[in-house]
Amino acid sequence: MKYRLLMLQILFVVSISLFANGQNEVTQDENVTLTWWSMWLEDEAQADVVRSAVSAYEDDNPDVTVDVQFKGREVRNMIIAALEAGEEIDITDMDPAVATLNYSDYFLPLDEYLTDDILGILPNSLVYQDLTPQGKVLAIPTAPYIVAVFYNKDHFKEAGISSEPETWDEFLDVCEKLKSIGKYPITFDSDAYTDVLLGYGMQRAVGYEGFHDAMNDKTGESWKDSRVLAMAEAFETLWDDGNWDPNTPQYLFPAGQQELALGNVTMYVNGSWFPSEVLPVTGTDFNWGTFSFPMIPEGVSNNHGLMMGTNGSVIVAKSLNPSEAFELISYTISEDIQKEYVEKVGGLPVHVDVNPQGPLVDASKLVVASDFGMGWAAGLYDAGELAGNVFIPTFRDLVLGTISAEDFVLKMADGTAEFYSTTE
Amino acid sequence: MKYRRTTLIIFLAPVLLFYFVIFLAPTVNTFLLSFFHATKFVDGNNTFVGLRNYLELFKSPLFKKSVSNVFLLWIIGGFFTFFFSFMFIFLLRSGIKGKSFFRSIIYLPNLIPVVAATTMWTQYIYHPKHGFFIKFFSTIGLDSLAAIQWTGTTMIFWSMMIAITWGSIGWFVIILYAGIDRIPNELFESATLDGAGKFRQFTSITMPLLRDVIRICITMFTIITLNHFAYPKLFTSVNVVRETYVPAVYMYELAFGMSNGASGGKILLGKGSAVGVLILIIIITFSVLINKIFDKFDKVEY
Repeated sequence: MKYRLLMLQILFVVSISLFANGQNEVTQDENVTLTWWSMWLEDEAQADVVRSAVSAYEDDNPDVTVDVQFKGREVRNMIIAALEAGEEIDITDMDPAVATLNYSDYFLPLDEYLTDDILGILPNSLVYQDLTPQGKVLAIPTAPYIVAVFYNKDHFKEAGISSEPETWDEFLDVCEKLKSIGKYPITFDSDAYTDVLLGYGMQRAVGYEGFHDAMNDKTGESWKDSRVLAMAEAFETLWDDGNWDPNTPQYLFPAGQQELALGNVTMYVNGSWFPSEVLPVTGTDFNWGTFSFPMIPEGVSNNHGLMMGTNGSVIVAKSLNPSEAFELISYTISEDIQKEYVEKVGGLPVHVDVNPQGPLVDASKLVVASDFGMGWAAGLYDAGELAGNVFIPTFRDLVLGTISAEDFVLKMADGTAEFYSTTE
Repeated sequence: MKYRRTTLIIFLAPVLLFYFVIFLAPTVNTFLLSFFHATKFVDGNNTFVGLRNYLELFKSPLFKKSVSNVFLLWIIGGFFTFFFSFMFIFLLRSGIKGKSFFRSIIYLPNLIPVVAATTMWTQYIYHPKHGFFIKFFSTIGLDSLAAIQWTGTTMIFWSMMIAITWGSIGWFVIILYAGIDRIPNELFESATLDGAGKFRQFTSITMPLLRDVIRICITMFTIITLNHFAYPKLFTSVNVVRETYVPAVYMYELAFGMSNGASGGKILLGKGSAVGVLILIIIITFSVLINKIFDKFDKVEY
């Protein structure tokens, strides 16, 4: 009996502890708490900038407390499960394209908050891309980027190259001059940036729509376009003439981009985060240049089409304090915070009155000069599995000299046709 | 007796509850989700599609490639993992001096986090300019080995297998060694007196008496191999390439809608769940087969 009583008492205590609620009740109408799941990590420069914005906001709004949690890039995978589990989150960070594609139900359309003041400081191209099917804006851009050819200006100067190439012939001429001073003209990390090379190559050759037509043509015949062959021959020549760092086939990210940072290679097609990524190796004295991916022989497009995008901040649809949340986000795009962003992060600013510094001055000029904006890899991944299973491996083999231009065209055509015939 | 049953229930209940909530319920939920076109974890908007997710998987060239990759990892990686495990056990039991030191060295790779290990292999050992392999092989005159493009498209799968095998051996050495240690030394001494050499003792005494331990090791190796995610995901840290693609990576890309992945950025939670269910079915099938094969051998006791 005593034993049974003891067991019941233990069970009672355990049960109580399971149901204990340690949370303090929030006092209504007094303090508001905003929860922000940030995509940056604690020790990143971007996190410093976020803290500055939060601090400025809290100073101006003493009745609001901001709980910013630096979750890292995986926040995108965590956020939806967290929201469905009932986690109270007000703000998170996400690529607007991703938010629009998958999560539009979870986030608040921000159109009613886009006052003239806000719109006046944001570039239209970043605000209005990636709209929902209803034409709504889901994200405020906070970290824009472009993809272009980044290069070492000192090498260009040493080689006597006075202007940046715009055509493929000019590009090959630049490569020859670089080789004459003992530099490898170009390299890349094939596991990371094959997609953007293919995207630019095809966009320059057949245009954005032509590229997507080829991806969606179930017969695969669109790949047999003479302009695609010309594009393939351009890359075939690039390899055959010895313009690639010979170790390129083996570089896994970030080995290839380190070679540029170490001064062994001159050019690399990369995102505008490149200079800040390799800053620990290059130091602050590296003389960065940027130019737009050149035109392809016989191609339909000029070299003004630019891959660009942005990360952004979104407000959760179930947020109890959306106005406060939007005001907080607006602090991150204010002029002072954007200047801090440029200085600490070295990224492209969103605020139209804030100028980029150092490595990205040239990059920002490309944005102004661009007449066509496209997403990452010119939308290559709209092809789903075809991209990773056929397009990227085949193009990589072409770029690295494993297959000829003719073989590339045939493999792309046959691979596309086979994919659609077996999967549908 | 009655209060003992009550006691049993009281103390088992938390564990069973934990098992049900953390393991069984999500497994059942995943299984059910595999029959839906699902874009959310918990929602009524998911559409029942029957076996469509599974049929799409069976037609998917990328999924088939991932399965063939993991099958190669199992067969060839498994062979070398157990070959080197037994070789190290043989070495450790040979009376070599510093046995504890060597045992620690053999187990060390298991202690290294996968992130650190993959960085070491890809950015140091296999690096085409500064890597250990190219410098070592060049120094000793093995130019043909130095010329191998370890992280090129032809070799990257095998290079990853080498790294995975390196990271696995130590764990199986520990388990198998513990099993061998339980075998009474008298058996080996008697065999020695009867003139049996080391190899004969290994095949006639060690292997039969280790039967159940080996069965468990092979089953665990199967589970680990079919669930490989970290090594392929980190070996090519930005995008997993076709050559090192495995089902767990495919599942991850579908379930989380990786924008540069197999789903083109769309969340395909139902299809991702189907991959998980197929992995589970393959593991169960392999486990049953392994048990059936081992049951054919006579159970030996000492």
